[in-house]
Amino acid sequence: MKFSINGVAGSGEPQPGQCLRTFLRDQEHFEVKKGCDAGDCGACSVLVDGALVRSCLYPAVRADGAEITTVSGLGTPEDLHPMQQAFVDHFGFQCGFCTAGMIVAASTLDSTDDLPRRMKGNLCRCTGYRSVRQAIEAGVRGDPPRPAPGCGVGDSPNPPAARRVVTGTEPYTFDLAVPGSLHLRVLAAPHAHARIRSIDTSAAEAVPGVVLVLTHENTPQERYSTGRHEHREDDPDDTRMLDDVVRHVGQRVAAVVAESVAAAEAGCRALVVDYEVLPAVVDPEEARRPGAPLLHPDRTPADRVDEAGRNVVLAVHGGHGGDVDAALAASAHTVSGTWRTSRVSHAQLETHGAIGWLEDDGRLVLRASTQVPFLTRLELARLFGLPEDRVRVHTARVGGGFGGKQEIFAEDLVGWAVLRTGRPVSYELSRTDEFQRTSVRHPMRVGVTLGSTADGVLTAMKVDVLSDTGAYGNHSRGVLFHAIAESVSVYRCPVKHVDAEVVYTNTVPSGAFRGYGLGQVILGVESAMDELAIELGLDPFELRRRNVVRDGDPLLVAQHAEPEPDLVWGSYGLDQCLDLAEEALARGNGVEPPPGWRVGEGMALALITTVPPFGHVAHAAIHLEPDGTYRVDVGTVEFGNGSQTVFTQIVASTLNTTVDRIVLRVADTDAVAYDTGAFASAGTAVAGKALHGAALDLRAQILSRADGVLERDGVRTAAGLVPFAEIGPLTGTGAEFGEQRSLSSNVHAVRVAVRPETGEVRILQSVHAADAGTVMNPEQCRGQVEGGVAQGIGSALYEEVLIGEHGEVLNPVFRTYRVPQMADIPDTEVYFATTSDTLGPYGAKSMSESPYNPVAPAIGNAIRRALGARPYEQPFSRDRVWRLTQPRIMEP
Amino acid sequence: MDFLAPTSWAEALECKAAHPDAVAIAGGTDVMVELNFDHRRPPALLDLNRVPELADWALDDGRVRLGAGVPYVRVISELGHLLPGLAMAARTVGSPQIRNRGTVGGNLGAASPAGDSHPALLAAFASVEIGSVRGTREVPVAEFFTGVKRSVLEPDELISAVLVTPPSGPQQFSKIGTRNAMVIAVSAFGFALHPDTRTVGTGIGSAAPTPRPAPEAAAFLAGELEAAGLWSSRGALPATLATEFGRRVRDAAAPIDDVRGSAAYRSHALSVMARRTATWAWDAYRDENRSAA
Ligand SMILES: Cc1cc2nc3c(=O)[nH]c(=O)nc-3n(C[C@H](O)[C@H](O)[C@H](O)COP(=O)(O)OP(=O)(O)OC[C@H]3O[C@@H](n4cnc5c(N)ncnc54)[C@H](O)[C@@H]3O)c2cc1C
Ligand code: FES
Ligand code: FES
Repeated sequence: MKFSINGVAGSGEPQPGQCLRTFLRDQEHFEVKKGCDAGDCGACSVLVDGALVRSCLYPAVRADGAEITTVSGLGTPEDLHPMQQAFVDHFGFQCGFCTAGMIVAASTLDSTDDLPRRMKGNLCRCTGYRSVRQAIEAGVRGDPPRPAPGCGVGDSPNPPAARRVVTGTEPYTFDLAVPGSLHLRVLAAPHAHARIRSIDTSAAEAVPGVVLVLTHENTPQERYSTGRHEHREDDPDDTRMLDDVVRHVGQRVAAVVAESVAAAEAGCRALVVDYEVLPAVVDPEEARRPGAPLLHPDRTPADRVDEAGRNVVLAVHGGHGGDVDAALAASAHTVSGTWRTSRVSHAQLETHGAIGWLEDDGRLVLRASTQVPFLTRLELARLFGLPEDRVRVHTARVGGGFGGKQEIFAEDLVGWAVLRTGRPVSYELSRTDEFQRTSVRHPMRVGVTLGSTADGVLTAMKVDVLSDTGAYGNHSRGVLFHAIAESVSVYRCPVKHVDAEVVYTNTVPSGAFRGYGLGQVILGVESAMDELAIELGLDPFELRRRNVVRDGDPLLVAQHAEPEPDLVWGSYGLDQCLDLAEEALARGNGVEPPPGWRVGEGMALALITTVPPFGHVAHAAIHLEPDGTYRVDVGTVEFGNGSQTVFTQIVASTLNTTVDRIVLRVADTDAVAYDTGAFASAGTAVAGKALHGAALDLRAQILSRADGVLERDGVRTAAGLVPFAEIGPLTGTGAEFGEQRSLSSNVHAVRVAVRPETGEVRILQSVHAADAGTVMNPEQCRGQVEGGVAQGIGSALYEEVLIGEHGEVLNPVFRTYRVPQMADIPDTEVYFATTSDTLGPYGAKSMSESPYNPVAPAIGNAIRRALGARPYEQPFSRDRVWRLTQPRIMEP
Repeated sequence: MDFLAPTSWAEALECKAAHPDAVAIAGGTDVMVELNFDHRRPPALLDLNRVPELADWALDDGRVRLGAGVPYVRVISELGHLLPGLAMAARTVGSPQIRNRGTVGGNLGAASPAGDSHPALLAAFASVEIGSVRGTREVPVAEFFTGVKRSVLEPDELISAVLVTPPSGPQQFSKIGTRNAMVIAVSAFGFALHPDTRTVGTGIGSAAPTPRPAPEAAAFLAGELEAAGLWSSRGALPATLATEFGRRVRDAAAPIDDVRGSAAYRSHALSVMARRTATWAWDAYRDENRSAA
């Protein structure tokens, strides 16, 4: 058939039943993205003869004779379409994976009336939509481009990749043609718990095009964890690449590598597996009862599984300050409650996956959608028995992660298949694979009991946590430790006690996710604090002020009487955050509730350390070229967190240059010696600090060669300008080890309206105050806050991965798993405290995970005050909120 | 997989008779998802896009004949006056990209209990026109659905059109979802006043194995309106009557707990929507009189 794409004539024959999206990508139009292949996300939107369609739902054969326009046909980096320009100017993206479809859809608008409804077919997981909305409004109006912004620290320059992202020319993981590549697909387990008696691969091997079938019999059987940390001992070794026991529905059973995706899928269907079905347990409380089916009975504390005989990966029991029950009994007031949080999917729009190949000298190369290339390399080298330098892992731009890519979910199979076949291999997960086989936020049951004096001074605090890690323990230990850390230590209280356990169940594994467990326990603690405020008749801000740690106070978790030695108050801004949020809420925003709806206000706070404990390493190098170009090598990954922008700002400010003189190389194990990775909000605080060190080192070297003032084109000395050609080449290096940690804080406040009749909740005003230290890039930092708030709203009101009685995921698609759309997310007023941190570069602190943490409790508290009844189970769906108004209907 | 692309209705029916296991594809918004997810691997696709007879609507013998292949976007822009309930329902379907492609024929073909056209068509007493090489038949929408995602369509049959008498009174459609910009309904309700016959039309969506009317509730409301002389007096709808109607609609449903919500909430939502839509429609009916006077 014949067609034209972006004005260029083409021809080709689609596969039977092929959709236009994959057909366009076959033509190397990689700007057409996939988020779901089910019509739900809009990332694949294109114009066919001017009509907006989702290319994943458009039969490719129908494009015969058609004129197709993708985002790359609207404009080019040098000559942007007005809508593309507006997305650049208004920071209308973070990871940018939704952007191609978003801009194509927006380009068809001639009015912004009812924008949320018009844009409801386009999901963005990163931004929280405010910037997208403003970009679209500006694009439709045809605003002139914004004047070039400054590029130093404190300015808001655009991400270096901005003009490529908005034109679809910035490559992501799979936006690469690899000639001769094989495709890998995985057979999913149909049972929650079963032993594999045998796998008959003969029929699969006979499928034309199938090259290799991998099972537990021909893959490394060493145990490891998909979760990656600076110290591999942080996670239990309980996972095999392919195991002879399946422990959740959807677990990989075998992998088929073939010449085409269709052949690989046909090969999977042809596998014959004989299962011995075992009893399964899907409820975490049942899992730790005697007699429950055991998931990993043979693991021991040496594997970091504390009590395999009770399915318990980690148990933390302890307290300080005396007997907590006695202290509660002696308190003037006590409040108590038990909260439940849901499994939440990261729903980053780019699914996991990797492409691998061998270099000429036989070195294994993986291009992966990961936040941790270095940690992945280490573990794969170990698993494959290779020296580390025989493996290279790098990323292209990563389409969102939120913690979900601090894991190895594809790289192991791809790497092994490449080594076995000697050919390039590619494995891209589907959206349903994401739901069934990657990870979710740990669902937790959180019991909190608080005691206080008549004046509202805390006397005792008791926290009981049961966390469900699903079938594997990736991140289970770290998440549990973190969950009960700053949530508890933020309050001064003489007696604290915690009982916390994380258990295995035969369900999809839980893993790392923005906030790393804190949000779940904060829901309990901040809701209980609100209950206490109500009980005392005290303003909730005031109650917090009477009890929060102040600058310099020791931070005491329940289980230790001594603070952790590496925690320091590099700056303190919690007081300012409380004031800023309180004032903004009191000011109001004039939005009125609909008639008949009830109104309530709520707030919650959160504290978080800026760096994970036990070290986080980054190396950086800056090479000065004779022409004044600075080549910058940093290990950490850009996945929408804006780290690349901040890096250019640090270099520009420290070396007094401009962005066009800075060339970044990031996220490649070849780029620098080592980097722990882009997680735990470490981009600015750790990698940024290493880079700042490198810049200072280089600056000193330059000035030692020419004494004067460093300028863009050289050094201005008494004798005139000494050009870089006479100074360079030079290399400055820096490293940071995360040996000390400071604290960031966040306060969220909302006014909501609730319609008792239907349980609908509408957020009338949303206010967020954050202490990020020096704000390196105000526009970007605001975007991070808004994105975190949006995910918090999603968790609070809509999102829940549902598990059936046999442990299966019931809603593994976006149609039934509800990622908030533009219409669901109100604008949030964002305020920053003015502090400067003694640890971070230029006084900056981290601000990417933490905005999530206080949002759900603030909304729950507002619903409580609107209805006089408290929601205890997240999400606070319409269904559940309506039940709160129905006294006669009891929760089962 | 073959791709059959007939260019006339007669040819389409011949194709379907020759390939009864071919899957018809109109907008493709359901079919392509099933193909992408490998839920279906049909031997052939039967493309209905080039069949001109399906692509338009017309007034035919006093009824609107809506071709099965007309996309929602046209129902909204062209049929708001003739099929008001359906146009309201169409506005809530998916996103602009889906409404540009998706069709009422496809909605019926998929026969999902959550299909948004169905409550509106039920309330409007619409019929489905079905063709095959054997001939044409007309099936009332209320008899079209036979089970979850099943209908009376025989393997050699295709839907040609939906037939609806233009409204003699106001129509309403309401859908409660799980969030502001809903995609699929927790439950939905269609309501129509038919003053010419002094009857009431109802349609329940997403709250039973098939879309279904609530005939007992409809007869009750129509009867009470009659008894109180309200059809002619156009007096206000008593709140107690609206509430009782809502209760009876709720009793006509048989929802289950599923990924969209609990059975209890869906039943409750239905009673709220039935009460509201009846009140809105009745108020509009009263306004009609005033503006006419
Ligand atoms: C993101 C998304 C959101 C959606 N949201 C909604 C929503 O809010 N409400 C809703 O109701 N639906 C929704 N849908 C489902 C879908 O869009 C509708 O069911 C639509 O009406 C299907 O029409 P189509 O023309 O695309 O059907 P197709 O996919 O082409 O066909 C659907 C079925 O009908 C059969 N069929 C089509 N035409 C005929 C015919 N003439 N004769 C016999 N059989 C036929 C096909 O064989 C197939 O089984 C959504 C879908 C997506 C992808
Ligand atoms: S990939 Fe097409 S809509 Fe998501
Ligand atoms: S920027 Fe929208 S999904 Fe990442």
